[in-house]
Amino acid sequence: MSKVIVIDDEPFILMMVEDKLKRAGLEVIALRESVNAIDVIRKERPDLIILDWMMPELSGIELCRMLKSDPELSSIPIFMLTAKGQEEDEKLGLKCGVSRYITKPFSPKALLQIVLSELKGT
Amino acid sequence: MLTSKLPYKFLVMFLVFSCVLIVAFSLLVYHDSGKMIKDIEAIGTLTPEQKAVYTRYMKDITESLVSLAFYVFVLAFILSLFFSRKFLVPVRELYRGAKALKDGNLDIKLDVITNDELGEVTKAFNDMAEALRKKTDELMRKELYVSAMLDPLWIADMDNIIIDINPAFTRLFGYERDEVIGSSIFDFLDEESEKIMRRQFHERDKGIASTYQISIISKTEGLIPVLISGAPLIENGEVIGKIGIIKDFRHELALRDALKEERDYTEAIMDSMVDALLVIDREYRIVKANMAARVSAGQNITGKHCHSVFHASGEWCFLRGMECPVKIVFDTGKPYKTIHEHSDATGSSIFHEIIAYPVKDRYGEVKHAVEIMRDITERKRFEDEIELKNRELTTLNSISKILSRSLKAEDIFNNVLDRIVDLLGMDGGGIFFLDEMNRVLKCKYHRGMSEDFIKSTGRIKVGDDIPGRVALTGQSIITPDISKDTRSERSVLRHSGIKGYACIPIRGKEKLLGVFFIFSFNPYVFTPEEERILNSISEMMGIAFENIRLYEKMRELYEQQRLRRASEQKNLLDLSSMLASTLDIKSVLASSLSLIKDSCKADLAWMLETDDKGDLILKTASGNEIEEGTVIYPDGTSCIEKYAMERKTPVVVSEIASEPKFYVSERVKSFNTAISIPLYIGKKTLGAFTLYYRMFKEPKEEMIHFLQTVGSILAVSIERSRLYERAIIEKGMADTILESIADGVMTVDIEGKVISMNRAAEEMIGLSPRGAVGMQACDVFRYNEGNTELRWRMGECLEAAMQGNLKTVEAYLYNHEGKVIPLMLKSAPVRDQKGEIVGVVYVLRDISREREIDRMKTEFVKAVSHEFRTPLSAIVGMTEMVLDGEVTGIRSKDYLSMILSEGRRLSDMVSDLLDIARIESGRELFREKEIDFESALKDVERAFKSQIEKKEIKFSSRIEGDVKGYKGDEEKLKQLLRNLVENSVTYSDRGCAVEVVVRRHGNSIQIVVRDEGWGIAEEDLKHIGEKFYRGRHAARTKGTGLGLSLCKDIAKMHGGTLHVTSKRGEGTTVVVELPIREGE
Repeated sequence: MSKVIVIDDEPFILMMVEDKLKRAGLEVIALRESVNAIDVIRKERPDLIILDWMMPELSGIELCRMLKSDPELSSIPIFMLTAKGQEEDEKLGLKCGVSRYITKPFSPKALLQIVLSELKGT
Repeated sequence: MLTSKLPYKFLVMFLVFSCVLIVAFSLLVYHDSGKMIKDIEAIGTLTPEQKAVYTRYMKDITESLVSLAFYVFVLAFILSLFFSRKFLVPVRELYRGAKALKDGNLDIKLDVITNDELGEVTKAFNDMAEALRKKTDELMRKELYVSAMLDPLWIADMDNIIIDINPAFTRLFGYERDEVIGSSIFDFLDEESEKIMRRQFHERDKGIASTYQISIISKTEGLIPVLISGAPLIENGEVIGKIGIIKDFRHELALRDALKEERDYTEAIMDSMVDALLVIDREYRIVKANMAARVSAGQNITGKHCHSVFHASGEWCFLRGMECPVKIVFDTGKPYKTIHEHSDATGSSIFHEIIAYPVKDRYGEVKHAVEIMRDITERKRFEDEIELKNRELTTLNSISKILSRSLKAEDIFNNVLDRIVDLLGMDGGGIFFLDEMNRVLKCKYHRGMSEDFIKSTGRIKVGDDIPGRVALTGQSIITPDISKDTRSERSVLRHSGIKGYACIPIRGKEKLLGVFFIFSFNPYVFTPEEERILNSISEMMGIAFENIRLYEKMRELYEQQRLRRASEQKNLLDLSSMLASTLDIKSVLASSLSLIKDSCKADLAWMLETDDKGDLILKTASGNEIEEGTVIYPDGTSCIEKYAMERKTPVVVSEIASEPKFYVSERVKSFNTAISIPLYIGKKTLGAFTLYYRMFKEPKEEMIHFLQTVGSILAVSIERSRLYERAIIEKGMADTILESIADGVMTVDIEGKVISMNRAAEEMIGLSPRGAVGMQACDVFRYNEGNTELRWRMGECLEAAMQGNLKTVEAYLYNHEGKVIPLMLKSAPVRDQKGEIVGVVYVLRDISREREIDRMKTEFVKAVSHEFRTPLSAIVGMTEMVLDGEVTGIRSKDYLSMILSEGRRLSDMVSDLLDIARIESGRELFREKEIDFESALKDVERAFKSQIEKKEIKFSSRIEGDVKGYKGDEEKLKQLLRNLVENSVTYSDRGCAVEVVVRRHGNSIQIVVRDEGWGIAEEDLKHIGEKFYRGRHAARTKGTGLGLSLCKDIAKMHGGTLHVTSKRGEGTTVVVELPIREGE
């Protein structure tokens, strides 16, 4: 079973994504805080990470940079799920190593499809 | 040998008989022969010898006959011996068998010794014994069964006397067999049971069997409830008695009670279910219905067809092409879930979420279907509402996007019209704009109407028809059917086929801008929600329309300004070249005045100055031949010029004749309009120049402004001419002009070397002009690499100007102080009197403000779209999941409440925006009321309690001094407090302190909110309170950037101020000062 870590400080979004992915039979670890996320990721070794950008204390993009600079974790694909819809934001996200840049509002169905196709690819 | 013994018997009998006959015959012969001899002797003829012979013969014959009889007898004896043996053995065998049989030994089997009749008899005996054994076995087995029967049994005769019982009877009732047999059945029954029994026996006598329940008195345990299966005993077609098989019913009764209890319990559970539950058989009849189902669909639904109860139809739903969950369950044998629209007992529509389960028998066949129906009418309504809200929000969002993105009226209104028509499913609509001059509404944009119709109805006078009335009264007209509405009596719409109709006024900040309407060809009831949406759309359209007007006006103004500046520059340049080219101040003034007169298209221009006596004398005039030095107004005369001079402000008199307070010289009495500009330097007034117009003239502000500029230039030049007449001319008037311009001006010669630079330019660059003069213009900016582009652009401008063209570019200036200033750089050629290009003038305008406005606009769009996205995400995503049925039960309720809360969040944001817009437009009502700060502070603390606890914030609030009696808008002030505290809590680390103080400070109330949070960077500080401005913390936190802006507006609304002091990393203090107005 593939393992996905979802990090978003918006509890509703987090719950929704968690529900959706779990229903599809994925193992989901949902985190509301990004600060200690890296430890969890190191321990759990997920197949995919879904990240919100705007989070207090440690933003998604910072966390993404940290993950990508860690040789052990850099191979885990990262999806950015964010309300930042500007083109330059997306460019920055992709530059930092994000595999897919998904802007809110999004369809959980579509998200699941992208997630599944990514997991299938790996 | 013969198989029969009879011939042998016959033979023996014959022999024995023969023997007897022979003996008898011999005796007879002997007797008769003796007699014969005696008779012969008597006659005497017989000699003794003859007698002796006769006697001997007689003796021989008798002896032969006796021996013959003897032999025959012996033969008969031997024969009978032989035959009796043959006969006796089987007879003895038979006797043995019969004896054994009599002793009860049924297992006997006789040997068949002979093959004769006795053999047959022996065989028959054997068969008989076998049959007897079998029968006995059978009887014994039956006896065994009866004995072994667990259930007691009694047999009674026709008189109800018990003739037999089985051991089980004894076991159950304790009576021994002997005690029972011979007793009446009724001896063992109580009164009630006896009655039942007698009724039953009546049946039994007719030969009918039945089962019934009674109680039998046992020997030890009293009454025992039993179930009796009674049957008549029939022999040869006649009832001869009865048999009763008794079943101990105590256990069954207990079981039945338990079952009943269980059933009652199940029914209670079923009845206590909120959801309706039905059990439906294969005939689609309701077999069972719980309370909820009965309440919802009627008490007597059991036994009815489900389609007749829930669909008010006499036909099976699937026959009518409808989905029937019961049929699906019967067909597939699997549970099925769906949502159906049903009608309840009163016939109104309800939505049911149906889960149908199969009830299978032990062969796996579906016998019944259980339907659990949850009334989701409310939820459905709620979902529909949410969906509608969602659609509305999306529409509002997209409309607001359209409105904020584009400034093209056509794009906006066409798009908005499409969205509204689409949102409400209307057939068309349109927008009328008000032509204020003619008081006419013109339909510019429309949908769903023919061109002909528009031609006839697209122009409506204010007050006419419905749009006209809406425009006149400012009140919406919304009706479900316009053809029946009394308001449409004289309207062309009445017979147009239009039914549902809404006409809403579009209001600007101050006035009505137009109306928009939507219509439907079917009657349409607009819900209050939809009316609210239409009103907010009209509000948005109003804002957008004003924005567009503003934008167009700005563009127009910009264009005008550009032209004015061009002409001003030309005039000023002319003026300066004039000032430079002549030594005579008088002629300069004369020419200047004539220049001004021409440029302002005046009919007369004169300049008056105060002489030593205080009279106003003519300095110079253009358009009239008056001698210089003529006293126009003696000292003390109240005239226009004097008025302007005293107030040091331009005076415009539109209609000279109607202003009695001014004395007007005969020389200018024929003019209608006068514009007088005072000439002064500092406190010293020199005079005034006035432009006169024959026609009525309403000068524009720009013109007054220009005249003021000219006035100040002239004043300076007059003053200077007075003091340093020559020197000032030598220095050149140009400097003065340049110095007084806000834009940076730099002139270069044809080689590109700097000739001059005004103070504005110098300040912009942060450089002394002396240092620049003589340098290559491009090199002036060489100090910073960032200026490369600017220098490149300056080169282009120089080139263009040298060819006699004007050029405008934009570039960034990195000044000496490290500031980056966006510049609009303009270049124009400087020509000498002969018209030859002698240099180039650069005008550098700081366009920071314009850029700032641009940035704010972008920020606004960015922030609104970003802030709307997150809640929309939850709403759209969760709605999708609920609608797809991915979340059900309690979870779906959670989802719906989250959707609601996110919807509210969106709505709050929209309200914040609207609040700001309302306050800023001055349309917000000020609900004045005495403020209880103490309770307001408590409210705020309560509102943030959980956040404060979570972040372990040290929160304190207090009141200092007397703050009672202050009157303000309570709701707004509470909102201000909430916003400020929320900011402090949000932008602080765990454990920081937040303090709120409300105090009396002189003649005002001060609200101070202080925190030890992250603080605000210096660069952000100056933008504080700008709408949607989110400083450096924006990346870490969520917000709209509206909070402080709203606070600032609220403070302003109360005539107060909001002040922020902050240092990064140390904390922020916000002070709101609310002046106490008189009378409080």
